[in-house]
Amino acid sequence: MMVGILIAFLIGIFIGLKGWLKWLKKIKPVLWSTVLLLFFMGYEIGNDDTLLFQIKEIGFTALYIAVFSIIGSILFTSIYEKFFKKEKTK
Amino acid sequence: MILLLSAVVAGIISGIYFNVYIPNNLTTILLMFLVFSVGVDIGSEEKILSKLKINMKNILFQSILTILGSLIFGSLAIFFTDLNLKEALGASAGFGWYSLSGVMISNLYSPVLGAISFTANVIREILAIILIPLVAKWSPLGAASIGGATSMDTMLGVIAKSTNKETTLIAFGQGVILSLSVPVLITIIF
Repeated sequence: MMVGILIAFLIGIFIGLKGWLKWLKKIKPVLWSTVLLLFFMGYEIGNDDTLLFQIKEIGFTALYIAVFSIIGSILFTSIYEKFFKKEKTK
Repeated sequence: MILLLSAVVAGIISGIYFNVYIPNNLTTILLMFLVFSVGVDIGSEEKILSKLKINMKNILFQSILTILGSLIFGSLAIFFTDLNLKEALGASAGFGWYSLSGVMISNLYSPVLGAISFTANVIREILAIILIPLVAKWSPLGAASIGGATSMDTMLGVIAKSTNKETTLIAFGQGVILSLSVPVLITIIF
């Protein structure tokens, strides 16, 4: 399945580069497949009783992940910017 | 974003009250279709490829550092939460792309971690809107890194407003590389 996803991704890029399937954008496939997938994701959460007890924890866990990821991103890239980036605005 | 959040909430509510059998293949096919469509989107932007070459070195460093910063610091969450290293890394590897990461992780690993990843990346997106203009005054590239994978679409406007043209281009390239790396990294981690 994992390999299948990556292959689907690569085929998509190839077709995009070739300029095929441009009409596809009009029906917003990314948005609608996402909506459906998120609905099913929610369904699995709602359908799992033990899972529902954990929902408060999810918020706090997610907050830690988000805040730490942001701090790390800013820290690493700003150090690069201040000390190593040579090219200035062209 | 409101539409996506409502989809999750609607799913949770129907999960509580209804009991319908959802075949596993259905979500896999949907996921493949989603990833395929995103690929078509990225591939069909012809100007991207030529523009990217100009600022390639900075874009590459910016992307690698944003990835490392997110993953290394994101994994520090293991000291404050119940997550293990693999789970913390996986949840951090969405880089703000809540729709794909949440869905992929719930499919590959567990719906709980999928929900955590989804929420974490939604929070990252919301914080990005607030933080990018503030951080941009001190470090434009730091500001661009907050957006993660979304620096190429939803956050691009915010970044363009708060920084200069060069940073905006780097932010865009970073968004492309991070978007490409989300499915790859999540697949590797799980």
